[in-house]
Amino acid sequence: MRPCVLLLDVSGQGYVPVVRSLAERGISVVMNGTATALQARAEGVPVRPLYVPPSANAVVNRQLSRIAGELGPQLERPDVLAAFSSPLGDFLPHTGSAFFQQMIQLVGLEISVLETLESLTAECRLRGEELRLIVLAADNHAHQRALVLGARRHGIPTLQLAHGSQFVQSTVRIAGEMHTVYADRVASFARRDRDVLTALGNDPERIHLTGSPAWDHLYRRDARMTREEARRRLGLDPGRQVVLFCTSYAEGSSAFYGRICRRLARMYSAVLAASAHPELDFQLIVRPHPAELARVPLGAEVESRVLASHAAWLADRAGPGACLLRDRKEEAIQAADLVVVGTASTLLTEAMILERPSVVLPLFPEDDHRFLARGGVEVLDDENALPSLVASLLGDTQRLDELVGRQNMLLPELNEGNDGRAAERVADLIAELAQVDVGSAPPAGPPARPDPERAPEVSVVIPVFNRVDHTLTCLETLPRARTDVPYEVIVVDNASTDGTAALLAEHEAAGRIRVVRNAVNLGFAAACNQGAEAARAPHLLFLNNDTVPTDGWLDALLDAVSPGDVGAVGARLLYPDGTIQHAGISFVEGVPDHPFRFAPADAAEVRERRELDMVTGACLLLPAGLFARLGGFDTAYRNGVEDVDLCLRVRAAGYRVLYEPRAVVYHYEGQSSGRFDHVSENLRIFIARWGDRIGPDGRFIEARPPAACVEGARAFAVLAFADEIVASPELLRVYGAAFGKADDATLVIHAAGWDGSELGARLGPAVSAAGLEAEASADLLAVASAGDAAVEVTLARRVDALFSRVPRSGPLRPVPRFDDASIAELRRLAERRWAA
Amino acid sequence: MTHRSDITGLRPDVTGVFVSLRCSGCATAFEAYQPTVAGLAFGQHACPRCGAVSEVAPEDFAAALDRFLPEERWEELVRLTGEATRVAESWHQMPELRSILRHRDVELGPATERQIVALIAAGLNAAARGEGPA
Repeated sequence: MRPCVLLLDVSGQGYVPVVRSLAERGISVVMNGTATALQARAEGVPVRPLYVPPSANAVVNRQLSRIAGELGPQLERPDVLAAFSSPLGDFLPHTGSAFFQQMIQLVGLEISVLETLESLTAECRLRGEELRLIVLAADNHAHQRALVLGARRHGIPTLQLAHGSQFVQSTVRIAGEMHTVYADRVASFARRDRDVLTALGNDPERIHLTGSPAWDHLYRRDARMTREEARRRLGLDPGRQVVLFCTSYAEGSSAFYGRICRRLARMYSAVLAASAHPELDFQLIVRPHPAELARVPLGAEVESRVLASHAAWLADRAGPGACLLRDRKEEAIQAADLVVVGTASTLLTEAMILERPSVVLPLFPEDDHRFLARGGVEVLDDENALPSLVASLLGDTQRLDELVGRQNMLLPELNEGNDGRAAERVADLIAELAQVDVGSAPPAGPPARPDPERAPEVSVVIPVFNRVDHTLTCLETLPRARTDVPYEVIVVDNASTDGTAALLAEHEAAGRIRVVRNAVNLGFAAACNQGAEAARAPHLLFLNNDTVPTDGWLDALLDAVSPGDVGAVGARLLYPDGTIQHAGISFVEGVPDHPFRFAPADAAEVRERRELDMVTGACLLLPAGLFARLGGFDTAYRNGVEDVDLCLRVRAAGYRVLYEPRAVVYHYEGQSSGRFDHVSENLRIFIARWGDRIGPDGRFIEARPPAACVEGARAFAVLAFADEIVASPELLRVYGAAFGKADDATLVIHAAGWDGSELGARLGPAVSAAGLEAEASADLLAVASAGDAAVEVTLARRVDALFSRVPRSGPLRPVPRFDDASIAELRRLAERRWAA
Repeated sequence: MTHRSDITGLRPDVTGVFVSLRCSGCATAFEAYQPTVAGLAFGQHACPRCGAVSEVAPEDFAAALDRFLPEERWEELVRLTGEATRVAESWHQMPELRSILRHRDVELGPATERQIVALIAAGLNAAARGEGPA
């Protein structure tokens, strides 16, 4: 079994090399950090996004309802309330409501992640994979810790990627947030990090030294630049010195907002005082923590107004060259002659790696931060001393160099190896913990291309609108699902605004897909129709982008559609947790619905191939010719019911609709935005169109015999096919010439899949084009085959009877259905007649 | 027309801080989220009644911090957080609550401990300051 590793909440460019290394070792990687996953994909590294199964929402709601209902009475008991009491005071009157709200929210996230884990392990089994390790960021969030507990139930080891635990100085440190090793193992930055964790009682055997992959790129030569170059890039005066002030903020887990905010303001004042120092002339860059403004979504307008006010305030106090800079961190660091760091954060290490002298203003001077000063970083407890320190440092190049020298000595203790190779060490550790036998695991290569040597039997049409994560997975897994059927893939992009365009361009350039691009979102139906127009294969398969096909799916679908009377085939669609999402559609209380939803994947009712009225368009295969004759999906519908409508038109045209259980496809269902925006409108159109064709049993009512019938025809000469005649009116002229003089001749034109109203509109021009009325006298009997088997059998028998004049061996063969085989035989008989 | 803000209270929560303002136009009291950058507050808040705009400047905000969120001593901070941690780690361990807070054989209480500490600490701090119920 191929090993699989889940990376949860692990994001950042630095982890792309880790993922690449794992893939090269034959490990399947699943990630929930979409930006990082996409970046890896863009670099050709196969990564699978982690999905929260749609069924998780229902489970969360059900469980939260149960928990809230059961907790309520308990919380009225004095002995239970005593658990919340404290000698320091009663916090419940102040935060009781918020406390229980947050608890419920956190518990909901825990249940969701536990459901996701179940889904992922099931998905891995079906893929022939084994989930061997879960790697988590070290945020100590409830859902991360719950995942670890859930993983233990499955016997799956866990690894926590620690980051900067030695730096944190705040209430989170006191509360032990960053210091609690909750996973089985920890990948620690370096020795000082491990020392802190060990001193707090964690087992050193569980702590592995790797360094931080996020810093690897800083060691590359091309990441380095001179101060002058960095200043030029930032639009600063390259000849003037620069001080960079990087601030922290009162984050969500800080209980002492006032203290932290006040401290930050004092640091800021000290930096401004330094800028006003009479002996100093430097350009000040202030870099607020990027997460500070993002705590609450403010909207672009408010955000830019706040930043503009702050920038104007800063320029007014710090003089020319002062600027507020939220991004371009590495250029800002390298532009600086001195970096002032408001609390020791990971940015401090980055400044040290980039060899810029740094001074730390601790957020909590009382806290134990002295380890930083041990032979290394300059720490200033009293911010009032900052102006004189800055003055003495900026004026003394030798002191600045000495400071950098001391920082360099300290770096190996803060970032293991100090060599830019942490990603390799992290990947080695993950592979080791996942017990990967490199020799036995097949490499996870790039997705296979469709075979260009074989003409496609099926055109897979995938309409997309955003949700690039789904499209990524779909395009990646599609070629991995084994099939002997040659196929092509056409993706129709409905003007996506996320990273879809780039992803599709990547696959298109690699020759894996063809892309139809729309300037605006035309909706599901129009996109599918566009895809069908671009298709080259005799069969069309419409596939949602939130699907993952499994081995043999395409073969099973094609096999099911092979008899000529099958007009549409649907697949067995599963939720990621393995329960049924679709096994055919029925009318439930007058509305098309999925009767077996949430049933077990192998329930007896869903294991048999069945004839139905409708199947879902999430995965729908049908003959391209039939799709064209039916006019494609009806664009009157908007993102709903188009598939049901199409299936009923297939049924009305006399074809069967099948559910094929051997074709198994995972489906995340209804993930596109706007998917449910038009439900009422769609149903109104649907009921108006089909309401009188749905019987009390909820089944489609078969069409009545067509108005045009065989009564009154003098005799039968030959069977013609309407689609051939429309395509080539000259054929009708030939028929007419052959039979026009015979009094008993009647040309039967079989129009399978048409209704009566279409005959005149479509055959009329062909008849005129053939000049038949003027040149020939054969009776024309056009029969629209609208699905009534009795009419087809009668027709077949009468035509057959005519040709029985031709000597033939054996008894008259009954024709139970006017299927492809019957038609083929009739064509052969007609050819012999021509030959005679 | 923009007026200098009249801040009548501060209410921190896990997302940052809310300022209580009194409109200089119509004296209506209202509360608004106050964004900060590098710990400094800038922003304009429109009165929901008359639309008059109050402007919060760093100096006003700093004065409000001193008035409404007095600075805790480090020892007090350690004591409050330690006690909050104890409560966060213990309340869910009552047998009745353990059986309720369970899903797929996983106890859900322990995983919440770290994320709930700050809220309890803030509540204990408010109680210690003698504030009335929220």
